Amino acid sequence: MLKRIWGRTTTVVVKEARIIRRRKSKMFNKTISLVMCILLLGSMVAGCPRPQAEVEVPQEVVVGLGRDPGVAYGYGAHPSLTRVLEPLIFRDIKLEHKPGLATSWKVSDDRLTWTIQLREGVKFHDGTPFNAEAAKHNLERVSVRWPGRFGPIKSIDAVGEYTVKVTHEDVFAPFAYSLAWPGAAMISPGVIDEAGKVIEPIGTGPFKRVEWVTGEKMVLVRNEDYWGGKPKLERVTLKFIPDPTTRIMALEAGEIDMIIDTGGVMPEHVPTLIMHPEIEVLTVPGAVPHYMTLNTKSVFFDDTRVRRAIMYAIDPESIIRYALEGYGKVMTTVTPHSESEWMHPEPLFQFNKPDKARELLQEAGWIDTDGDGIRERNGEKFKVTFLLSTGLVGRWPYDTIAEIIQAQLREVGIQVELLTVETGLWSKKLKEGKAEISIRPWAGISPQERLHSWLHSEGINVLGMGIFYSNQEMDKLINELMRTTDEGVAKRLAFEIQRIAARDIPIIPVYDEVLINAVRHNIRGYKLHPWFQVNWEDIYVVGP
Amino acid sequence: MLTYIIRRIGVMVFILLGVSVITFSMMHFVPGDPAEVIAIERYGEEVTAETIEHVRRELGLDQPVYIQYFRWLTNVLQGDLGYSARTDRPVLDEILTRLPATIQLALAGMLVSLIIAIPVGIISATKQYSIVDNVSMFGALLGVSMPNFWLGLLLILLFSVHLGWLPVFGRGGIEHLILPAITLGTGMAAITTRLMRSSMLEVLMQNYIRTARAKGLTEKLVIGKHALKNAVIPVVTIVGLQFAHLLEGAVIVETIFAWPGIGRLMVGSIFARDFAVVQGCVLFFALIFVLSNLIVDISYAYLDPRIRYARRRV
Repeated sequence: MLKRIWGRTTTVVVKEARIIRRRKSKMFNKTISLVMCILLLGSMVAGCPRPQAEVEVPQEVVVGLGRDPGVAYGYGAHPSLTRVLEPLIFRDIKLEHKPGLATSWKVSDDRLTWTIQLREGVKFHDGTPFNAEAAKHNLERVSVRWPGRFGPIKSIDAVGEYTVKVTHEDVFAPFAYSLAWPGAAMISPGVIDEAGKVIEPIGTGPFKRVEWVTGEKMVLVRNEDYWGGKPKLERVTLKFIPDPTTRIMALEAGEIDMIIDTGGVMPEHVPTLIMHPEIEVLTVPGAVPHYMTLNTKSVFFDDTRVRRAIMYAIDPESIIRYALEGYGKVMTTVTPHSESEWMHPEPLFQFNKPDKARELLQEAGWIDTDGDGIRERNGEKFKVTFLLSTGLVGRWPYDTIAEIIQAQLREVGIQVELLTVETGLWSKKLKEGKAEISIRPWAGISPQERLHSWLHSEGINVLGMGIFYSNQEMDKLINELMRTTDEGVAKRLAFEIQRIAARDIPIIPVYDEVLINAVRHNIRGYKLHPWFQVNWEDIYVVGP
Repeated sequence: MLTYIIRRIGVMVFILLGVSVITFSMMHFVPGDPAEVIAIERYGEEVTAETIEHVRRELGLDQPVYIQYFRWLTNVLQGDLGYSARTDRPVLDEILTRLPATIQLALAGMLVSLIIAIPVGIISATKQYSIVDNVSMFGALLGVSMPNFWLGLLLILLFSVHLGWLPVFGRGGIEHLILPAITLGTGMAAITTRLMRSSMLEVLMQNYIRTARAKGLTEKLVIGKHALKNAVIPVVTIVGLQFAHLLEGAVIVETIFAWPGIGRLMVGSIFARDFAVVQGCVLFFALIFVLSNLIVDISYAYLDPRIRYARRRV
């Protein structure tokens, strides 16, 4: 009985439920239809031609950087990256000298006095006129701070409202390069204290710094009175994003519009970025060559034959392919491709000839007598230390490069121990000669200065990187080069220096860097500069 | 209680002094020339010997270490933490502009961890060996094992790049805080969940819980009123102490999310041998450690009256 009642009740309940469900279903269908109609109408309305309102695109960009643009030369704004501060001479995209705040520069017949003609009518961001006095003040400041970079200066004189004369005690041929160096930026005398310290970056550039939060961001606004014409962009926000992957993702998500600077985009991220429809990847052979150094005073590398064997043993092509995803160029001499006119025309450095390397090592007395694959001489194993700095490993794939070199040297019977230490310790160990091999980049100021620093017995890298190379013939040639103002003669001297460098091999040029930057598709006018000098005044935004 | 707090603050001064001496010596005994490292940081990698000497003189690094320390200490006692060698800005300004960002991040991370840990820990304990328990414990294991940077990048990829819901980096509104807080809080949540579970299990076996149940109280009341307060004591200790560790862990999260916090400032300053900033940061960190310990002790006394009474008797 109960079962029947229960069964009947259940049937009634189920029936009611079905009816309710049907009703609900009908209601649901009605709602869906209504929504569809609204959407359809909406889309029709949206699709109708409407009078197009002129939409002004805000001329503002947000830029991702891998370093704080305020920490540079003690200025509070990196001259090349921010363009707040400008030097007297510019270097164009081909790295040729172009008038900047100086319209001309000439050296006297005795090659000791440089007459610099300044651009008229230029004002600093604080309204102070840029004139000979301001230029003199700045040149004095930088020549005290970086004496080696400006030559043996005797006097700096303002000889007119817009003319400055710089007299050297001895001929200093690469002076024009020194004036083009970003560190030689012109800063308003009012913001330079008595000790020569820059309190605020007040320059003459197309943009002014309005905000700097250290380690976070810098905001630039355009200089309406820029002597080169009003920039198109109104505002630039430079954001310091230390993690390279985050930088890439921020660009993909559209939170930043550009990634600039050297090391801004890591080679391994390029394949992802290329696939992105709204991102453009820009590359340019940079002016940053990377050199492998050999301690010529160590028992392993005091023989030229051994150093030559190292050159033959390594293969920069495979380094570029595997460590840099192809974004690099093999160097054939110590002078980089960015200074192509100064490059020796012949391929002086030759690589990837392991058999020749083995022959030379054998000749130098390094033989594997115990069959363990490592060569010995007088009972000493050929075991060297490759010292890397944490600071550099963070910016370039030096750890991978060192591993490749380690494997290539192992092939010819040389054991390499890799050691990565903190920058301070790295520098100390190298100076004390406590490592045999290292690697570092060097942008350099001028072709002459580059050869001096790496090959002169008193060169800062020869001593600072623990190369300790000393060759009187080389020193004489470099000294002559530093005093030769005739470019034709200077280039011939440079070729000879490069030839001797490839004969003695105190350093091995590993690769020329290819700079990689990326911008979103709506950014126009950006030209990637080999010296990462940003042409902010030409950049503009075309759409959302 | 007040005397206790005052005494603790007195001890704090000595701790801070000790910490500053140790940091100062350690920074100066690290191999390498600090003047050179600062010069590289300030003027670029291609610095000359003259520039290095200039920096050495300017920052007084040519003086003996003890003179440098006393000079620093004298200035600190007068409220001057000095200037950053890298940026030339007052250290106090550098720290104060970043400290709120880090504290905000650490607090948010802690909140995320507690929101996950306490309910999951309780459910796991009350339903021991059930599927819920196993799943949450597996989740905890996963949370502990996942590296911060990996989780952070994955979260950015999903929520910022693909879905476009949250910003990739930087500090701003609440939306900027979500991903860094989850990244930072997950690891801690995992540890806290396990702790909460074991603590709860232990408490649930106590006689007073049996008594509570015997009195006929509902399970909700037994867990919520009688068990939770006791079970949470060890959790509070760990969470309090972990707050300071969160500040350390924040370094990685700050780097991934370009979060302008003190952790990144400190690491950058150590590498750049920016002594004044390192000293300032360490002083602040020490202060936070000591204060968080003090707060843990005080909240302990609040949660467990026996501690309070014991002190009163003393």
